[in-house]
Amino acid sequence: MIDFTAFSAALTLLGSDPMAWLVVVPGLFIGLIFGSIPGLSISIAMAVFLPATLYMDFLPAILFLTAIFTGGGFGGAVPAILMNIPGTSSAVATAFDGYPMSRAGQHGEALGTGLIASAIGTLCGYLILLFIVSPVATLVLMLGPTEMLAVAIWGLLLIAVLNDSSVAKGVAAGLLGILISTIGYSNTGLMRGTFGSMYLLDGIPAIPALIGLFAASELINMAGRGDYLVADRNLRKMRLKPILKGALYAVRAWPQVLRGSAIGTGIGIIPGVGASVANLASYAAAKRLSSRSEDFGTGNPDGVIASEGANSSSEGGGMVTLLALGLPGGAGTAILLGAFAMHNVTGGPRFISENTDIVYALILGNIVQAFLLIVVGLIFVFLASSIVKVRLSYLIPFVLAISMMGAFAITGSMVGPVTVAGAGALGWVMRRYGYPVVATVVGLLIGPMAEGELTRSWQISGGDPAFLLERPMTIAMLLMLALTVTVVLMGRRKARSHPALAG
Amino acid sequence: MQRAEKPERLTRAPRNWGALILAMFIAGVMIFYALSVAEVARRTTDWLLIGPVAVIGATAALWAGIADIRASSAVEKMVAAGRGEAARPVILIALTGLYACTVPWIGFDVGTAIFILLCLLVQGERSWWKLALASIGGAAAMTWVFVDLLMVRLPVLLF
Repeated sequence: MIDFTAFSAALTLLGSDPMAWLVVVPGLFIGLIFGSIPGLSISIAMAVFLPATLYMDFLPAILFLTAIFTGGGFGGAVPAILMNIPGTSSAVATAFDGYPMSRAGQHGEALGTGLIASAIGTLCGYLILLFIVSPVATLVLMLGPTEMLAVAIWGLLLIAVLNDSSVAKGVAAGLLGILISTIGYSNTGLMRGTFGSMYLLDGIPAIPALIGLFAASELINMAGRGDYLVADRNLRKMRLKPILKGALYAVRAWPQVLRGSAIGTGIGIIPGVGASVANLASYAAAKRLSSRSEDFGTGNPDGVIASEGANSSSEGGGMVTLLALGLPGGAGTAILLGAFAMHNVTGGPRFISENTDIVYALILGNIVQAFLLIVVGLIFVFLASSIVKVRLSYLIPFVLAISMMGAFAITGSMVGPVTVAGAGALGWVMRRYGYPVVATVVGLLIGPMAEGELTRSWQISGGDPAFLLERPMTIAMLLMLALTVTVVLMGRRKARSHPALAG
Repeated sequence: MQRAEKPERLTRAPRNWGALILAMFIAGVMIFYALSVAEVARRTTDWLLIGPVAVIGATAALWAGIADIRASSAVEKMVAAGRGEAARPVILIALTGLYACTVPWIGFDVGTAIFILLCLLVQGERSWWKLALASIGGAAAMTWVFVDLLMVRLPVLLF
């Protein structure tokens, strides 16, 4: 599985190039900062700093960009935990339990737990990459559109699992998200739901909509509901001890971290899915398998571990397809692919066989980044947790304004800020009547993939459902989906007939 | 018989017409969108996802709305826990919408200062120096970070 000659050459390569190490810490800080500012995603940070790598050698350039990737992976968790605003779509599930922990004054513990889960997740993702990069290249090529569609449907089923209100509301909210995601030009060139507006030709931008549904609606909901995020004055104090306590909890909960990492790496390998689905899938799995599943959503640190372990490890998974197939799995790996092109390097099986030492050097460099993230992240977390000392009346307009500017930065036009405002209003009404906003966000993120794969499946099969009989992997996946739904619905029915069991 | 009905009445919450109106609105929007797509569709793949999703989504929304008209007190309690007062959030929504729509003309610098000022006033801040410092200082700092530090080409009036 591992070519030891190339492995030792990789160690020599890393040892002889100090630049490869000098760029890592600034990269981590840049990623943490960009990831923690709502609206400024990791991909923006990587895109902004891509030209800076032009004069670097290939290895330092990629390590610098992956350091931004790694830092941003955890950076998104900081506002998710402190303000219920996922800095990136990969930290959506982190907010489910991280934010209730913050409101209970356990922000230090939540951040510490998230940091260690994120670092271990990154480490696991790259360790797994080290062993599987070659064999997986063959396997990924076997996934067709029907299997990808099954993955998308699985993502949608999370709605039913994650929603605590009612299945009908979860389904309605999720499908609303899917429909919103289809607005604009379709892959087949059809204009849908634009009402003649040129601003809607590219559709509703997903990240500003996500910011509006999560951040703006939550901030608006907070108005008039207390002075501070954490009501108890004593709990607002910042200490290193709770952060270390949270970090220790994550170390002790290593089986959960490993499970999240395995899920994250597995999902990260599938192109187009990535961290935004990995964190939700891992959270749902953790909730189902936990003996304290009723605590999830109310401030259970295992929820933070599941999400952060998975979203960080999916980076390693994404690198599998990038290195093995030259195929970007998401925005971050797409920019890495751009960096590859800038340095006249083409990813793929040939790249791996001809430059195995460089591939191993990249993986080893990223493993070291995981350890550095703990140190850099601790400093960053300590500074960032001061947010709980700010009065809500000041926090609300400031974060709303930052979100608006961030939304403009993403779209480059007023579509972003207007989307934030509209989605914020929609999210507030949905929250008021018990519709799970998260389901809409999941639908919004999964929609384009679901439509693309459904169209491809239809075109390949000619609309004949018998085509599925030739795809045993799809049938197996669909059977697993059906089993999941049945178990969830039975669990809900049981909880309804025995409320005491439901908690 | 009467003894059995009495506790049932006590666990019922008042009719929730707002939830039904919202459900009907969501269902209406979904069906309207699906019909508008069906009208311009040229082949099956144009509506393959949207059609079924809109029908299932609208049905689910109506189901949820009807169920909410007379939700049990437990469900109502859960939903009500997420509700605070409505006046301030509604004003904030209006201000946010106004802010988003006016910045192309008044710029992010002036627009943000006015937005922060009005938000603070709505939330009860009356100290003039705090209002001035937060709105002018905050807007200037944010605009500087985005425009000069992050090189984002925001529309600005004075900066």
